Amino acid sequence: MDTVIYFFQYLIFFFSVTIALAYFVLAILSYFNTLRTQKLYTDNEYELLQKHPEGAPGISVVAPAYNEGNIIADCVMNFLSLNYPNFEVVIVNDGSKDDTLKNLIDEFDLEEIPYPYVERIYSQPVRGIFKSTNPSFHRLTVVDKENGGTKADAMNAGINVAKYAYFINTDIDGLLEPDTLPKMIMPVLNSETQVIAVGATMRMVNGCDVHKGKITQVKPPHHFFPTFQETEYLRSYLITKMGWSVINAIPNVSGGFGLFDKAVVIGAGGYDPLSQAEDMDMTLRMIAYMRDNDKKYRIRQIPQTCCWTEGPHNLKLFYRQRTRWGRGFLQILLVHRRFLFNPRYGRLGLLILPYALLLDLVTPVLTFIGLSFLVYLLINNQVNFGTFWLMMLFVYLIGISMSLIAITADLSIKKLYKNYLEYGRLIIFSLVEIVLYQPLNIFFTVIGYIQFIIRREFKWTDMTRQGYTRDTEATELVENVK
Amino acid sequence: MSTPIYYYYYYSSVFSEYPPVIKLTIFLVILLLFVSILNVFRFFWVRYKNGLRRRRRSKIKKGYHKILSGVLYFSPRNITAHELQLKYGLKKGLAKWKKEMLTKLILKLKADQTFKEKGGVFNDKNYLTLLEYLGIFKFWENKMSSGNTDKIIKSFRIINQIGAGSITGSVIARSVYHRKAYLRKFARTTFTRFDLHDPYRFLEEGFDKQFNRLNEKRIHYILTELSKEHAVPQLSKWVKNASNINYKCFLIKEIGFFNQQSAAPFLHEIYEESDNIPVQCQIAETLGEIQYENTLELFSKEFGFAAQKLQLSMIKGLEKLKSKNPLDFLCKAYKSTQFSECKVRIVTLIGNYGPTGNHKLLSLSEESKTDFEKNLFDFALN
Repeated sequence: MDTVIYFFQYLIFFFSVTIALAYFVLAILSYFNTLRTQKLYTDNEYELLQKHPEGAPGISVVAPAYNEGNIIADCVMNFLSLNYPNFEVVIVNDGSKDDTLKNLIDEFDLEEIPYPYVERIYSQPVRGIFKSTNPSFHRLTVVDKENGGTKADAMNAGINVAKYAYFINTDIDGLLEPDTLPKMIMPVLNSETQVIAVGATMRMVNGCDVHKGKITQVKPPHHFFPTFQETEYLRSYLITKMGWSVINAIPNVSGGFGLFDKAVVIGAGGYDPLSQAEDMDMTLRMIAYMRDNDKKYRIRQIPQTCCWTEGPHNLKLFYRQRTRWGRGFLQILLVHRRFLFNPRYGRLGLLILPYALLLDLVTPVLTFIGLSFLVYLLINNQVNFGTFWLMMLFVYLIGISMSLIAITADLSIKKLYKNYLEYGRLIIFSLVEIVLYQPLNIFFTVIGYIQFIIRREFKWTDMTRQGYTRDTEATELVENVK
Repeated sequence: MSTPIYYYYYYSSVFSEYPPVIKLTIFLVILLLFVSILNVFRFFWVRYKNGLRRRRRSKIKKGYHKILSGVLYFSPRNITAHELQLKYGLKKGLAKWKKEMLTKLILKLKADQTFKEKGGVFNDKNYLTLLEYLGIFKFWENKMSSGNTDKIIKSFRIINQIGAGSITGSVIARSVYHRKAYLRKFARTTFTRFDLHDPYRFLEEGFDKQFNRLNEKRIHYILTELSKEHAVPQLSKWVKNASNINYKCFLIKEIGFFNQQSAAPFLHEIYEESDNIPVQCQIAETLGEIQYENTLELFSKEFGFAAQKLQLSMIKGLEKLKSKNPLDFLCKAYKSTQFSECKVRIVTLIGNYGPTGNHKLLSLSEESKTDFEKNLFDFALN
C-alpha cells in the first residue's frame, strides 16, 4: 500500500509540473500571438472591407433556437445590426414548443416562401422557410424544422440554407459585437494557406446592461458562477487557444461562437447530431478531412472579444453544463480514437489528441482522486504539513498566475469594463477560485464521465435565461432532460 | 552582480539537504510568484498608459479641434504657413506624441462629414500646408526609416490615410524587399500608390510570392484611388506572366471591375488555353462583366463539360452580361446540369428576365419531376 501511495504522490506531483509548464509555454506563445494579431489587424484593415464591399467575402450567421421565445427578437436584432457589407442571418427554429416562431413572424413580418432546399448534410425535415416582407430585414431567413434533439442537427439545416462560403456558428443568446464579422474574416484573408475556422474570445453577458439586443454597458457578472466562468473563459481563449493557434493546434473552435469554411464543414459531413460536444467533434473532423485530402489548413484564434453569452447562474445549470462537457469530451476521445497517436493525422494525432487525453481528460480524475486521498490522509493524520503547504502553494499559484496573465491580457487588448475596480473583482474571485469553484467543476466533470460510461441518454435542453433586457422577467425553468 | 550570486549560494546551501522534488517545487513557486507579480505590475502599467493616452487625447482635442476644423473646413482662402503661426498660434517643433495625436485628429476631421453638413468645404491645399507646417510628413517619414517593423507598418497605414501628396516612393523603397512578408507586401502596395516614376513595378513583377486575399483588397483599394487621378493601365499585359494563380485570378477580376473591354479576346484565348479551373472561373465571370459579345457562344460550347464550380461561374458571368439575352442558353443549361446548386442559380436568373423569363420558367416547370424541382419553380415564380 505504501508503494502505491508513494507512486501516486509522485504521479500527482509530476502531473502538476507538466500542467504548469504547458500553461507557461502556452502563455508565452499567446503573448506574442496577441501582440502580432493586434498589430496586423486594425480598424484600418476593417475599413478596407467597408469601403469596397464588392471584395468582402459573404458570411452567413447561423443560430439555432429552441424554446427561446422570450429573447429571440432581441437576439435577431443584434445579429441584423452587425456592421459588415455582405452577410445574412439564418435562424433555425428547431421545433420549439413555445412561441419562438410566432414571435419571429410577428416581430420581423415574416411569410413562408417556397424554397428549393438542398440537403447537403443530414438534418431532421425542414417544415418551411420564412423571409421578411419588410425590406429592412432582407438579410433574415428563418428555417422552421422538426426538432432534432441537438444543436448539431439544427446547425446542419441552417448550413444547408446558408448561401455564403463562410458561416458563423453561434448560440441564439450570443450577443455579437457590431464589428465582429470583419474581425473574424481578417485571418482568413491574410493567409496563403486555407483557413478553415477562426475562433474569438467569448465572455459572460450576465452582468452587462443590454437594451434591445445591444450591450450598453459592459460589466463583470454579479453572480457567483458566471464571475468564475468569466475568468475561466479568458484563460481558455487568451492563453490556451491563442497559444495553440501559433502552432496550428487549436483542438476546438467553440460551438458558442466561431467562423467556419462551409465547404469544409459539408465535406466533413456536417455536425454530428449524436455528439455531446459537437463543436470539438466538428473541429477534429474538419482537420481529418483536410489531412485525408492532403490539403494544407490553418485554424486561427483572435484575441478580441466578439461574443457575449449567458452563463449558468445557479448550481443546477452549472451542473448541467459541466456534466455535458464531461460526457462530450469522453465521447470525442472514444469516437476519434483512430486519430490518436496516428502520424498520418499530423498534429491532430500526435499533439492535439494526446494532450487532450493525457492532460485534459485525466486532470479532473486525478484531481478528484487526489482530493479524496488528501481527506483520507488528513483523517489518518498522515500529512507532512511541511511539504503540504508548499505543494498547495504551488498548485494555487498555477491558477492565480494564469488568471492574472489572462485578465491583464484582456485589459491590454481593450478596456471593456468601465472602471478598474471591476477588473479587481475578477482578480479577487481568481484568488478563491481554487477553493470555491474548481472542486465543483472537477466533481461535475467526473460525474459527466460516469454518466457517459453508464450510457444515460441526453438531449440538448433549453437554457433557462435571465433575459438580457433588465425589465424582462426571468422565465421559469424548463427541464427537458430525459 | 555579487549580491545575486551570494544569495544563490546561500539558498543553495539552505536547501541542499532537501530532496530534488522540493527543490523543483521551490523553483516553480518562485517562478510562478515572479510571473504573478510581473502581471500585477503589468496591470498597473496598462492602466497608467491608458490613462495617459486618454489625458493626452483630451488635451489635443481641447487645444486644436476648433482651430484645425476652422483651417480645414471654414477658411475661404488658402492659408500660408506664416498665417498658421501668427494668426492661429500653431507652434512648430512639437513633441512626438503630439504629432502622432495631431495626425489622428486631422484624419478624423477629414473623415467627419458633419462639417460639410454645416456648410464647410474641405480645403485640400490647407490640409497639405497644415501637415507640412506641423512636420507631420517628416515625422512619419522618419518612422518609416526606423528599424522597427511595427512602427513602419503603422506609418504605412497613416500615409495611406493621409493620401496623395504625403510622401514619395523612394521613402518606401527600403521596405519593399523586407524579409517580413506582411511588411514587404504592405510596402509594395503603398509604393504602387505613391511612386511617381514606376508605380506599377510590382504588379508587373507578379507582386509577391506570398500573395493573399488581404493583398488583393489593398491593391484593389490603391487601384481605385489611382483610377480617380488617371486611367488604370491595361491589366491584361500582366496576366500572362503571372505565375501565382491567385494573383492571376485577381488581375482578371480587376479587369472586370475597371471594365477593360479591350482585354476580352485575350481572356477568351487564355480561357481556351488554360486547364486551371479557378482561372477559367474568374475569366467566365469577367467576360460577362465586361459584356464580351462572344460570351454566350463560348459558354454554350463549354457548359456541358464544365465542373460544377465553372458552371456556377458561367451563370454568375451571365448575371452580369446585360448586352445579350441568354434565356435559350439558360434553358438548355438547366436541362443539361446535374447540380442542384446550378439549377437554383439558373432558375433564379431566368426569373430576373421579367414576363419572358417567367414564360420560360412555366414551360420548364412542366417537365419538373422531383419535389425539389417543383419547389424551385414555385420559389422562382413567387
